[in-house]
Amino acid sequence: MARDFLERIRKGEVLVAYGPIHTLLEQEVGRNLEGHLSEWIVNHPDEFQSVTARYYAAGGDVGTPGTQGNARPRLKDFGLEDRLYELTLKQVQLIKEVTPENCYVMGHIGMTSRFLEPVGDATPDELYKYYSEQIVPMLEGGVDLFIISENDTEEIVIAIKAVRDHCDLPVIAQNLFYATKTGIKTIMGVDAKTASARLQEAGADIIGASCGDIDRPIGTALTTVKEMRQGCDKPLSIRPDAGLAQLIDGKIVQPVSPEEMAKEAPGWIAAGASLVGGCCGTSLEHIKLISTAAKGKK
Amino acid sequence: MDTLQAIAENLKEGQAAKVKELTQAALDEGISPDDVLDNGLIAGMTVVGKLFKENEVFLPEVMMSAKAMDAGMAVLEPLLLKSGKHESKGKVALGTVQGDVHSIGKNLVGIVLKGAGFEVTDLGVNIPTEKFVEAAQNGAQIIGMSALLTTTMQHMQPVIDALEKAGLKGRVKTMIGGCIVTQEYADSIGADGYAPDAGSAVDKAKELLGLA
Repeated sequence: MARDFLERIRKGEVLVAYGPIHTLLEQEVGRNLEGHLSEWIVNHPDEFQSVTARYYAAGGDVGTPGTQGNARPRLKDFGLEDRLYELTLKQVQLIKEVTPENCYVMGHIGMTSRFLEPVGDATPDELYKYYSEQIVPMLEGGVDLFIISENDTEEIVIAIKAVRDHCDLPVIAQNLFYATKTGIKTIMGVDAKTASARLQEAGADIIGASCGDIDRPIGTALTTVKEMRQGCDKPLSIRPDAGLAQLIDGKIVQPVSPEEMAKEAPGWIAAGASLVGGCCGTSLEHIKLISTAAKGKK
Repeated sequence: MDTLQAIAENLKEGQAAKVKELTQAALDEGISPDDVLDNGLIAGMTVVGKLFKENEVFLPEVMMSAKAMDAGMAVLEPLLLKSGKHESKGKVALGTVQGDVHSIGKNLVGIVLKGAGFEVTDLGVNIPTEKFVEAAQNGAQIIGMSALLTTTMQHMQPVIDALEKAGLKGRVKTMIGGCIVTQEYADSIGADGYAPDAGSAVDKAKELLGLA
């Protein structure tokens, strides 16, 4: 498997990534809502592999297993904490089997659902352990890079250290940002410039933003990229969601269309984004059009 | 600044030890536990809720204030129970719907409602329909549901339907929230209320119970 991911980015190539495999599984194979995503994927390997293959065919360069909910406290909510290793390893193995030669698998380390002291009751050591025990099976499965998404920038800093202590693979560090009345901020109240400066200092290779509500109103994603650029000089990543949900004809849809989102992509790239794509509510069509827009910029 | 104002101010600043100390001091001054609760702790938390709504403060400040509130309540609670006079603003049961494990928004809503004087039962995350109905049967006046995924928000309507089937519609109000949920969606599934943030959730809960 190619290890030249960062090299391509540094040379100015724009790659396409995707996060929310749960959205694609729902759209493409009608995954039912019961249970934990990881358990579902391991129980439905064919569906997962087929949808992932379609994602790569649509223009995705970087694929991800559905491991974002695999932190121990979150598996525990489903009584699955004893299966952390297996559920993480198996998904990486499944996605590796369908990942084309020139594409990459990023191990997704998601939220622990616990907060650091003094706001919460988690110690840095506890969080480090939660991250490390996901990193080990991801490495065994053969991920090419890691993506860390958390609400608290300081938690991401701990996760970056955990990755660095285990390997030298590239790390994407991404916060979730929201368009608040006092600017684009994380739920902890940290703005995009401050967060990206902190993540650069902590050693992230790519700094990014996803989901939150960074694509409503339209243009917020671009502002987020620009503000992240003010805080760091690392390559940037942006993967907006498709907007607030609406119920139309009994079906829930997120309204930002593939065309609308793809129209924005060149702006993100001009502002410094090297990794682009979608988050919750975006479809294979979004990926296809964003990919076309991104590759056109190469 | 009098002691009650000092309690409210320190609660806003998230100073748990100070709030605890001042709560005791207020009682020692002869201020009634009810008064300390309403005009000290709840008054302080109300300010925090408003600042949160305006995005002047964020999750850390709210959670630190909640800890300060708890520190004050630890002093007051035995006395409030003994007097038996104090009544909560209303009973609220909160949960994140089935299949969804996002807890942060729900927890914030719980903190701020509690801070406003509501009795809050946190059902947790990944809560099936029956659990919400059970909570309503056990006396909850408001059922609050949270979802952050388009896949899981579809689990809100079944709860509303089940409450109606159980003959609880009307007596029990439903409120929904979560970052992808909208007023429009609340209307379309027949929820009684929607709040875009925790601060607004207090106003909405009061409105639904006729306290506004």
